[in-house]
Amino acid sequence: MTEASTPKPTPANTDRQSLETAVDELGVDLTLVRETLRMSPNERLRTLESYMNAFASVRVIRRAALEPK
Amino acid sequence: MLQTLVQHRLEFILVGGVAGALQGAPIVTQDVDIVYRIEEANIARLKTALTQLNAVARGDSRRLPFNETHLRTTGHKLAMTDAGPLDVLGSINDGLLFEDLIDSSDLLEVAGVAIHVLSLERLIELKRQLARPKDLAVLPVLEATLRERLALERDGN
Repeated sequence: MTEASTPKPTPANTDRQSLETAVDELGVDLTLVRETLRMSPNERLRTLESYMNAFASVRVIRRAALEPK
Repeated sequence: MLQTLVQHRLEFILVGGVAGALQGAPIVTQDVDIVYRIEEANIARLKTALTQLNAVARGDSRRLPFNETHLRTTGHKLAMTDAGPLDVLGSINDGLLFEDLIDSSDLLEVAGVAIHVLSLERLIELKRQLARPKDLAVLPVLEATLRERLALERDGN
């Protein structure tokens, strides 16, 4: 019974384990840090701009919501 | 926005969250912070660039533009532009000017232009000194990024 409920290592669950996030002692996601460091400055700027554009859309929605009806 | 500032040959250094992000930290910010050289010709270039960006004082319903007298001061000019929020800083951290920071910056090629970006080491140092809650909150990510970058350089990657 115990044997049946314990999954044997397979390529699928080994991969899942390797995808676990590396986190430092302060909780910083090192996977994300390493990914960002691998990007060129241009790619970092494009990523940041996509976030900033999203913030801009939120500002438009907020302003519209706060305008007197 | 950065292209407009460079097109007008403005002497400036990117600081703050955008500097951290361009130096490789996975952080997000809502505004662009620059420290500019306070010198007459540069102030004239800044004024022209801000006019092109339709910059006005942020949070002021009168939508006032910045004049050259404002721009000659070392204070923080918080602007809203057509391209988003821009913090135009004459100085940071109790009086550090462009001249005090330029040697701690890296010239990075982004969006087809070369821009001075404050180094990660100096950014961490300044945020530690400021020690406001918002600075302390981002420090662990900046420090982890610096550690990882140094490790990559050590390993020759």
